Amino acid sequence: MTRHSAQYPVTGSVQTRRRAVVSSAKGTVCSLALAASVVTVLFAAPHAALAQYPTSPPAPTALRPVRFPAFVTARLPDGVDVIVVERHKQPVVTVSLAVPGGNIYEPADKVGLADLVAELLTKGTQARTADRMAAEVEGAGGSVFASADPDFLRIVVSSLSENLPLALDVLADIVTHATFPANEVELARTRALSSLQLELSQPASIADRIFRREVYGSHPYGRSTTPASLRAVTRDDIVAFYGQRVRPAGALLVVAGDVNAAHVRQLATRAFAAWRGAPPAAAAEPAIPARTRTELILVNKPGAVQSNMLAGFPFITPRDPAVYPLTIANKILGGGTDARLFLILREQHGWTYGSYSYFSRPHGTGAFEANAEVRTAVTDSALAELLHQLDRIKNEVPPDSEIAAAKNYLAGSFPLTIQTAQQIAGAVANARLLGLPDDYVIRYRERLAAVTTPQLTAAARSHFTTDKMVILVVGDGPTILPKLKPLGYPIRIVDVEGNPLTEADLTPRATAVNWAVDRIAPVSLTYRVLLQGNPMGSANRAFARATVGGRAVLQYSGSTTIGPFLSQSDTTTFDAQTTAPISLRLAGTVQGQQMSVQLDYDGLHVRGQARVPGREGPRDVHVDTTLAAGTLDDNQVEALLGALPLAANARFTIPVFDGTTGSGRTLTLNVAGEESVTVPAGTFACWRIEETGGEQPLAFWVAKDAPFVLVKFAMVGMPLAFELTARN
Amino acid sequence: MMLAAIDNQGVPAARVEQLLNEEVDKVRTDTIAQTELAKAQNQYRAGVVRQRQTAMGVAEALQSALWFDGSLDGANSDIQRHQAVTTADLRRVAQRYLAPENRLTMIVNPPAQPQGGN
Repeated sequence: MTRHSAQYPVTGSVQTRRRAVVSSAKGTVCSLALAASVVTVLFAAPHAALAQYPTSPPAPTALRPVRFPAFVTARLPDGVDVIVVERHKQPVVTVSLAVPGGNIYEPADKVGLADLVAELLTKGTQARTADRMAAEVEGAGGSVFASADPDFLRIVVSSLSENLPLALDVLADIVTHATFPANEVELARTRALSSLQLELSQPASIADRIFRREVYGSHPYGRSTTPASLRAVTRDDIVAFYGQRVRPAGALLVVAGDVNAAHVRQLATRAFAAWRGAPPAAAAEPAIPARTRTELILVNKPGAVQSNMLAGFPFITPRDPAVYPLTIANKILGGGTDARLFLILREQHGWTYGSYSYFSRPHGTGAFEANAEVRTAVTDSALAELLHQLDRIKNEVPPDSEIAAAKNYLAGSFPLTIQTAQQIAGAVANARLLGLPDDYVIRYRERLAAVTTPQLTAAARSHFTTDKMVILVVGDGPTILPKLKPLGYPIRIVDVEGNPLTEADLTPRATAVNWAVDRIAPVSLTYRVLLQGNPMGSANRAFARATVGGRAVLQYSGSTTIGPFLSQSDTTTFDAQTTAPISLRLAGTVQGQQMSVQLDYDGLHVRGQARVPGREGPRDVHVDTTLAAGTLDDNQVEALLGALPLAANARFTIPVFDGTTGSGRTLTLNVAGEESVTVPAGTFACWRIEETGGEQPLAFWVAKDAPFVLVKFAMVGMPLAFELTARN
Repeated sequence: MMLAAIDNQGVPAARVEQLLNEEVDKVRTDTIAQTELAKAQNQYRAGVVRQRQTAMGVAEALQSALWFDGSLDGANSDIQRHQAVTTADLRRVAQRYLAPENRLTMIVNPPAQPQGGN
């Protein structure tokens, strides 16, 4: 639920900041993405003679007018504003209904309520179950989708134009008779919690959440969903929000496509005849805090190998005429792969895969940001360059060639954004909802083209408030803090949830854990491995007590097979009293590549070697390292879950050594709740434990009663889970 | 046409192959329900129409018509030709092309199980 960056028309290119997902969990390394790639399409190059390639691109041709179809507007008796855009090119229609029911209307402690309402709108009405609605709409070759953004809640139905009556009927059914079945509410909540947990592990999402909080303060645009806010939402809240907010007064219905305006009006009047009422007046929005100086916020993500940085400030409302010059300025600075940030930070220096800028356009004041994701070592150089480029766009007059190229790109690509009925409906609805004039879409290119260089520089100078910025860097605090200090900004340090930290907190302190090692019983466990709910493999685990060199030890051994993708076996040996690691032996194959790890611990020293599969073939890791006191082997954590002093809300910070990377990291285990879990081995009262700090966030369910076994284990946000099938 | 399945642990590949073949044979011997055909036709038509709203989509449709039909006119008759298909056509074509003697089956097994472990 990344909010208000994605849903609004943003100026600039689509950001590509999402990381490739590589899963590595407890010695189980598997690339699920590879499992999905079955078909490779090869394009054969034509055997044409190599043409003489021109050395410069062709000059753009003169702009031809955009033939945007005329709008017909009307107001239905119940207050719904209707805009019909007749476009008879293809027999399709998109019907978009928006109501002022976005996240800003949620109670502050129930952030995410509007998103749940939107998701559940299509999950059942009095006349149609979720399945029936899907079958009816899809059977007619259509689709229905609802979503919430900070200001509005929207429902969009697309279909062949002959099915317009069905589209309007479904829409009217949704806004008057949605039923919010209790089981669907819980499913939606579970999905939202799961995607939130994944979001909270991703540096770009963490940066977005803290940036919005810093820029907007207590304004609703600054809020983000949390596990607590999602759990606080009751079905009654959902029904009440729907009852208050999904009302015809202030609603906007846009119908675009191969339709007749008079016919649409007649059908809509009939379909929405029973829809009545008006939403309550909205509370006054709090002001956006005024900042007096630029501040650098370091978000500590221990062990991060990259730094995500962004610099930004509150910007303009969509109705501000400065939007035209600022769209051009943004295009020059960071609005694509031909913009300054990309060319300098990536092409020239090779610091990043991409660096962009953009500004959000909610109904109220939007925010501007320039961002980059760079490797830790170049954090300071990249940030200094990014800030320098922000200063240049504010203070220097760009060369005519850059201004002309930016205008040509924006004007030339605009018609491609209003080709389909869905795009037209979206553009027309957005303009009206954001309070823009009805000719906004039609005259957009003309107004861009008319911007003069003095207007451009004046707008940039007054709106790029680089002396009152929020600079955020998400990364490995202990490594990057010394690099950031010389930049000279006041620095504040927070954790990934935004809680304040001191410099001393950056050195993670292990929790002193009173391990209840005696709880570990010699037990054999078998698991099934589910991939998207389908059994795809199996695993077994066993504890054994032994004596090695006169020392009482515990051995945790297991093997895992997942389809044809992974098979491995491993044994972790550790001290039966102190839990100090003694050795790890792991061997197997991943995607046909050999994998092995041999580690031997001696006090605070570890030696050994690993062969780790990778995209370019196996990689050898040699290990010879001194560890912090209390460090466990990464594979031990799973073995010791039952020996943790588990209690509601308990939190453990544990340093571990990962032989596959040859480095240490700090895991956080958080007891997130108590759940009854049913697996093939039976139903167990469990603690749900969430682990963060590793490659991938994980969730474990550990039995609350002896023998305290691991009942279930899942990768958060990935369709992979282990479930206990038997214990002996 | 390709059909693929991944068997669950312990289910022999031959069993899955048999089930797949039974489904293919149903198309050859039974008559597909009219509603199922209509749904597939609607979805096909909606997909084609949606594609043709963009300049890129039109280019792809023309390229495909020239390549597969040998004529640009194929782009104009594409939908009608799909709409004209009857359940009898489905069975007739299935009998001709989905014949057992035309099938090639490939079974991919995982590498040998690792030794060791408990």
